[in-house]
This record gives sequence, structure tokens and C-alpha cells, in this order.
Amino acid sequence: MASSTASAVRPMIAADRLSKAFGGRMVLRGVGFEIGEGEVFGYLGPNGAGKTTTMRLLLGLLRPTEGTVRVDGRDASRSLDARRRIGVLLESNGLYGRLSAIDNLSYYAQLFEVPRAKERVAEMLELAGLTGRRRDKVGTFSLGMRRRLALARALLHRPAVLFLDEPAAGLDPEAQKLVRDLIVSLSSDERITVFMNTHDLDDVQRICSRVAILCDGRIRADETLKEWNARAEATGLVLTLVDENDVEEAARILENLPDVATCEIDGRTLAVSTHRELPTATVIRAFEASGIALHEIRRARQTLEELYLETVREAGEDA
Amino acid sequence: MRRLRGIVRKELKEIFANRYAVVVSVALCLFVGAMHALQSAVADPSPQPASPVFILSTIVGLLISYTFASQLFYREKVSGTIETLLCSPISLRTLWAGKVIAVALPASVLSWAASVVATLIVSARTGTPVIASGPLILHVLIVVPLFNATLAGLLGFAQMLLGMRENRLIGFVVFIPLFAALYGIGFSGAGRFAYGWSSLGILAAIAILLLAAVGYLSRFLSRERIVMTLP
Repeated sequence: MASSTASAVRPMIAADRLSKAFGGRMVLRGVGFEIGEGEVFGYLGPNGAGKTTTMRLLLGLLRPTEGTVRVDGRDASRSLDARRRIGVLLESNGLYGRLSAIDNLSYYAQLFEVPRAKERVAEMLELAGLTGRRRDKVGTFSLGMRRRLALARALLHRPAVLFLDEPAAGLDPEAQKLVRDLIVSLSSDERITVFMNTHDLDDVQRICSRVAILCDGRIRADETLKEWNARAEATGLVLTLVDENDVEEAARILENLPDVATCEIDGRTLAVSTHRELPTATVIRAFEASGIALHEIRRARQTLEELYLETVREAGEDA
Repeated sequence: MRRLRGIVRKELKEIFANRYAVVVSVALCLFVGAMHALQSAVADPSPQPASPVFILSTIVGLLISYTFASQLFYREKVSGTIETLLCSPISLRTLWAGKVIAVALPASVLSWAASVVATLIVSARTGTPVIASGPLILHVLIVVPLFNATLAGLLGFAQMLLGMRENRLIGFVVFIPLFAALYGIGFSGAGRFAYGWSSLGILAAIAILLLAAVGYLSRFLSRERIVMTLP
């Protein structure tokens, strides 16, 4: 299932056979992808899969054990220019609690040498909805306010590439929508490339154009959201039998069909997941040949969550 | 240079935003200054006027540098703000240098304040106005800030490079005994001598050499090491 989707547009982030070991323990193994300009790349995976390590490698905070990393064609660990083009919102907001909102942004405006800094800082405070609290210490802010301010700081210098770690964590539903809409508009209107570490599959479905799943340091899936959705449409059948006594036999027949991944029984209903589209006619013919009467057969759309869990489970079995 | 100025300004704001630490530092240096001067005057009714000021300005500067450096380097790691900062287009040496300057400035001002207090008290106790010698004035104005910067630089280097547990150990095992030893020397006869141009020259050379050595050490800071030692 894993595939590296090469982008048709200019790659803004490129990881090639990226591996990282900490004291002999391999955390990443041969990870590779290219993310094009304007793409929103959702990077999923269970805790400890290596998502944070990947992001740190891309940001130049860690050096790869093997492989290469390029952000906008440059290595962020060596090039100050590359870092000028990067905006970052990490899990810890990176804000100074004893300083005011305006001081926090002004500091980064100086570090990034933002032109017309005062105006830009005011603009970003407005975007974060914190103009009225600009002189208040960040330590007095709520979690959501801090997250919004940290996002404003990440966008302050108009980066070409944005790295986000759980961007909507700690936000109320209204603010979550605001952040999602902002990311979508940054990607579509300003062609900003977004790399997003997340566990929030709802976020992924709403804003990502491409999704990769990392398990145990390896990319197990890397597809566009359209491909995910097509797979989700194709890979499920729900069958209801006339006679509950036939379920065991029906399950046996289904499990012997090609591409059937799992078959779960619930009363006289069978939920089948498949690796690729299974024609209903195939099932009907197989059941007719065994004399099993079908009450209903319909396609079941798998959610992204189910696909994700299936991928993680398969990765666990491989390991 | 603009970035370095920006770092210094921000770090100074951080120091002064922590009012508790500032008040305690000011009170401490004034208290230590007064106590040291009184003790010196009692111990020897006609002390070398240089002694209390020389010892005091050095010890107070180092003590305050230790406190502020811990605030700026250690806390940046504990709070995790350093990870975001490392993603900005500044070199590690610029960041380190900005913090060192921001520590050395207020520490030096406070050591000057303590010296003035001590001088006034010694003058009052002995009934003779103490007029500081040229070498002593230069010691307070130049050598003390250099030592402050050296300590801040060394401590900052260690705090950036080492893990949290090692950093706490450094405080207890190295620096606190060091201050105690320095202070002990200050109270003993060893600290009482006429501070002349040769003493100034030797100490200034030591301070410059140490600062250069610490500056050289800062080359060995690495982003990976800092990130890997975050709590």
C-alpha cells in the first residue's frame, strides 16, 4: 500500500531515504516523500511512530543518520536562508509567558528581519484576534489564545513552508474552524506548503490534500485525499442474510474470496472489508452456488479513521 | 548585528519581567555589599580601601550572573521555547552571545551598585572618605563585566549542552561551592591587598582569555544536542 506520491509541482519539501537512529535504535527507516508547492500534507501515525523526529529532521533540528532533507531546495540545518522560508508551530507554542503578545511577535519580527515590522505585527495580532490583549502577558492567556498567537508568529514573516504540529489542539470548535479555514486559504491563495503532524482525522479530511501514515518508522501509506476517499468508497460491503444459521458458512465463503481483508459477524449481518473493490455480483454468485439466501447487500463507506486503523494494524502484523 | 541587538533587548525584558528575581537580586547585592563592608571595617579598622570593593564587586557580579544565566538559558530549555527559536534564521553563537550580553549587563550594573554601597559604608565607618584608585575603578568597570560574561557564557554553554539533571548537579556541585570559596577568600586575609595596575593587568588578561576560551567553546553547540536534551 505504501507509495511515494511524487508531486507534479515544484517540491518544497523533499525527504530521500531518510533514516534516524538514536543510540543504535532506529526511529526512522528510509522515509521518503516530496511535497509540492501549495500542498497540505497530513502526517499521521501512532504515538512513537517517528512523526516528531521526521519534523525535527525537516526543520534541521536533527541531522539524519542516512538520507537527505531539502526544504525549498536547501538543507535547513545548515542554511539560514532556508530557515527564513519556514514557519513553525510546534506542540509547545514557543511563546514567552512573561512577555506581552506584541513583544513575542516583535521579537520574531526582528529575528526574521520582517519589513515594516510594526504594521505586520499589528496585522498578525488582528488575525489572531488578540489586538485588544496585545499588551497583556502571554502567561495570562488561555490555551486557545496562545495557540492562535503561536500560529500568528509562524505566519509573521510570510513563510513559503509551514510546519504545524497539532495546530488545532486546545482550540474551541469556532477557533478550530478558523484555523482550518486559514490553512486552506494559505495553501490555495498564497501557495504555502503545509506539513502537518496530527492525530485529528477530522482535520485531515477537511484540510489536507495528501495524507501519509507512518508506523514504526516507515511510511505505510502515502496518497492524496482523493485516492483515500476512492479507497474508502471501494473497500466495504455489508451483507444481511435471510437465515442467521448461514452466517458461519457465508463468512467462510467470503474469507476465501480474493481481496477480502476481514469479515465480522453481527447476528445475521456480515461486515466485509476488502483491499480493493469487490463486485457485489461476485458475492451474490458465490452465495447462490452455496444456497445461501441474501436479504440485502450494500456498499459500506469506510471512514478515514477505519482506513487509518487498518493500516496501523497491518503495520503491526508486518512488524 | 540587528538580530543580536534584538536578542539582547528581548532577554533584558525577560529578566526585568521577572520582578521577584530582580528584587531579590538587588536586595541581595545591597545586603551583601553592606555586610561585607561592615565586616571588613570591623575586622580591620584601617583596611586597604581596595579590599571590600575588589572582592565584593567580583562576587556579586558572578552571583547575579549565575542567577540570570539560569533564568535565560535553563528556563528557555525547560519551557521548550528554544525549539521554536532554533527554527529561526539565527546562528547558535548569535543566540548564545545575545544571552551572555543580556546577563552580563545587569549583573555588572548591580555589582557597581554593590561597590558604591560598600565604599560609602566603609567611608562612614572609618570616618575617612574612600577614594577608589584608578585600577580599582577599571577593575569594576571592565574586569568585573568580563568575568560576568565569562561565567554567563560558560553556564549558558553547559545549560544548552547538558540535560536537566546534569544542569541541576552543576549548580550544586560546581557553582555554589565556587561562590562559597570565593566569599571565604574575600573574608580571609587573602583578599586584602593593594590593588594596583599589575593586578589589574593580570586579572584583565585572565578574564579576556577565559572569555575567548568560552567563546571558542560555543562553536561546539549543536541544535541536535540541545533538542535531544529538552525535558
